[in-house]
Amino acid sequence: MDQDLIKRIGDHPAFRDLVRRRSRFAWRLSMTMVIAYFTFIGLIAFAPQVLAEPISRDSAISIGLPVSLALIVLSIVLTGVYMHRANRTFDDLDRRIIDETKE
Amino acid sequence: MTGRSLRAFALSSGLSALLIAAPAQARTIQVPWSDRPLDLRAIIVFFVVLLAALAVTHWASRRSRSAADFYASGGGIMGLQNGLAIAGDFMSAASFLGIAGLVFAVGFDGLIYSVGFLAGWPIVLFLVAERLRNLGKYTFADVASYRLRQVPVRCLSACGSLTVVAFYLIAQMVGAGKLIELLFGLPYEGAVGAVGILMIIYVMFGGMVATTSVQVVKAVLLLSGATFMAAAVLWLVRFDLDALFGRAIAAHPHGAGIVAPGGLVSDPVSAISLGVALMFGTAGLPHILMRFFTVSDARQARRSVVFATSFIGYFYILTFIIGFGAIVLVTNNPAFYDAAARLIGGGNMPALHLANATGGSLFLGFIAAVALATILAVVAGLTLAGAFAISHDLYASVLRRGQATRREELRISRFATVALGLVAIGLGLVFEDQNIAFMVGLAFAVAASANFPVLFLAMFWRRLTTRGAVYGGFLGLGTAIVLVILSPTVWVSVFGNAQAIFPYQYPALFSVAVAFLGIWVFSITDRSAAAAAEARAFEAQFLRSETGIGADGAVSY
Repeated sequence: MDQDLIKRIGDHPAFRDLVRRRSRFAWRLSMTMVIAYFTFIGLIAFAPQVLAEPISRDSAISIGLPVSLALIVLSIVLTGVYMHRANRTFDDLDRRIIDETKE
Repeated sequence: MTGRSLRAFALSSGLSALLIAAPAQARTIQVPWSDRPLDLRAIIVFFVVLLAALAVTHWASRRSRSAADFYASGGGIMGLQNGLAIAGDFMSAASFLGIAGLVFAVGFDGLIYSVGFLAGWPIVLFLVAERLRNLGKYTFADVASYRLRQVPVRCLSACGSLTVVAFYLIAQMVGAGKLIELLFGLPYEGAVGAVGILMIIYVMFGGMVATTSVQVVKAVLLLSGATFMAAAVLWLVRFDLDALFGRAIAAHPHGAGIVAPGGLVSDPVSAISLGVALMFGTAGLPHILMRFFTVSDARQARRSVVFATSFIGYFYILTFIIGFGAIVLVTNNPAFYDAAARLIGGGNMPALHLANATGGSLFLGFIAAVALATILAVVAGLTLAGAFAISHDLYASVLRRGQATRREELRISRFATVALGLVAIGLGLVFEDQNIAFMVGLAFAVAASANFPVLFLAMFWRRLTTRGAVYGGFLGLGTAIVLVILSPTVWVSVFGNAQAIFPYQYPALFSVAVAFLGIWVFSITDRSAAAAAEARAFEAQFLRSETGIGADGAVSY
C-alpha cells in the first residue's frame, strides 16, 4: 500500500513542482553559505593582508574580526530563513499533496 | 527539561550567582603530590557542580531501562530540547578550551575554527538533516547503505565513524587530563587514567537518555558560564572593544600580528585544507548525525538544527571575547606561569586561567566543573556512537548478518564502550601537548573525507554504486589517516623524526578530493547488474527522503 502511495505521489505534478522548488531553495542557500565562507578562506589563503587592515585609521580592530563575526551571524540567519520558509510554505504543501493523493 | 534536572540546574545557576557575589580570594592547600599549592575553594565548587551534573545522569539512567532507550532516547525529544542537546554534543572541550587556547597563542587564526565549526551547520540543515531523518533509523550508515549493499557499506561507515571518534576522543582526553592536572596537581598520566575510567562508568550507566538530559543541562551551564566570562572581560575594558584588542596587541609577543591571519595557517594550501575540513566535516560526524534520529520527524529535525546553530553560533561569538580577553588578563600575569615561565597546565588552559582572573577561585571551580561535565557528556556521545558502530554496524549487520538479538547487540556495545575508553586513555597520553581544537579539526578532516562524501552522494547522486562508495570511501579515509601520520603532528611530534614527510598539518584538501574522485571513478565504471539495480532504487529512496512516507518512528524496536 505504501509503495503504491509513494508511486502516486511521485507522479503527482504538484509534488514534482514542490520538490523542485524546495531543493532549488535549499541549494541556493547552501551556495550562499559556501561562497561566503570560501571567500573568507580564500582571503586568508591568498590575501591575508586585506583582513589585517584596521577598520579605521587608529583602531586596533582588523577587518578580519568583523568579517568573521558576520560569517557566524550569516550562518544563523540563513538557517532561520530556511526554517521560516520550510515551516510556512513547504510543509503545508507537502501535507496537502500527500493527503490529496491518499484519497 | 524535567523536574529533577531543572532543580539540579537551578542549584548550579544559584551557585554561579553566589560566585559572582563572593569576592575572589584564594585559599590554598599544600598537597604531597604537587609542588604547587592547590586552590581549595575552586576544588570544592568543582565537586559540588560536577556532582549535581552527575546526579542528573544517575536519575536519567534509572529511567533508561529498555535497549531502545539506551540508544535513541525513547523518541520523546522535541526540537528545542534536541537542539540544545546537539549544541551540547557539539560544543566540546575543543570549542571552549581549544579555541580559547589557540586564540591565546596565535590570535586571529584561532577564530578560523570558530567560523569553520559553525559554517557546516547551515549545509547540514539545508541538505542533510531532513533527508537523513526520513531515511535512517539509528546511524548515518542506515542512510549510506539504504540502496547499496549493506555489509561493505556498513563496514566503511563503521571504520570512518570509529576513526572520527578516536580523534575526537583524543581531544577530550587531553582537555580533561590537563584540567584535572591543573586543578588537583595530579600527574597528567594519572589524570587521564582517572578521566577514562570515569567516562566508561558514565556511559555504562547512562546511555543516550542520560546524555541527552546532561547535554541540555551542560549546554545551558556552558553558555551561561561563557557569557559571564565574556561579560566580565567586556566590563573590565568598559565595553570598549577597541581597548580590548588594543590591550591584547600590547600584551602579546606577536603584537598586531594577532589580529591578522597567518599565526597558524601561513600558506594557501593549509588555509584551504583547514577550511574544507571544518565546513564539510560537520555533516560526517557520527555522534551528531545520530541525534537526528531521536526526534519524531523531519520537521523536528529541522527545528533542532536551527536551535543548535543559534546556540553554537552565540557561543562562538563569545570565543572572540574570551580568547582575546585571555591574552589581556592571563599573559604576563605571573600567577598563571610556573617557575620556568611556562603557562601552568599548558596551551589548552587559558580559558580556565581567565575564569580565575575574572571571577576568582570560585568561578575557576565552576568553569572547571562545567568544562569537565562538557567533556564527559561529549565523550559519552562519542563513545555511544563508536559503540553503536561496532555493535550495530559491524557486529549485528556484518558479522552476524542481521541475526543478532538486541541483547547480544547491547552486550557487545558495552564491551565496545570499555574498549573505546581504554583506547582513548592510550591516545590521550600520546597526544598530550597538542592543541585540542586542532585535534578535533583532524576529526573533522576524517569525517569530511570518508563519511561525508558517501552520505552526501548516497542521497544526491543516482549513479553511486556500492563499489564506488566502498573503494572511494576507503581511499578517502586511508588518505586522511596516512597524511595525518606523515604530517608534523605525528611524524615529528609523536615519532620524534626531524622532518615530516607530508609538510602540511591539514589533510582534508587532498583526502576529500581523493574520496570524491574515487567514488566517481569506481561508480561510473561499474557496469554490473547490481549497479544498475542500485541506480533504479534511487527513485524510491528519493521519494522517501522527500516525503518521509515509510520513515521509521523515533524508536521502533
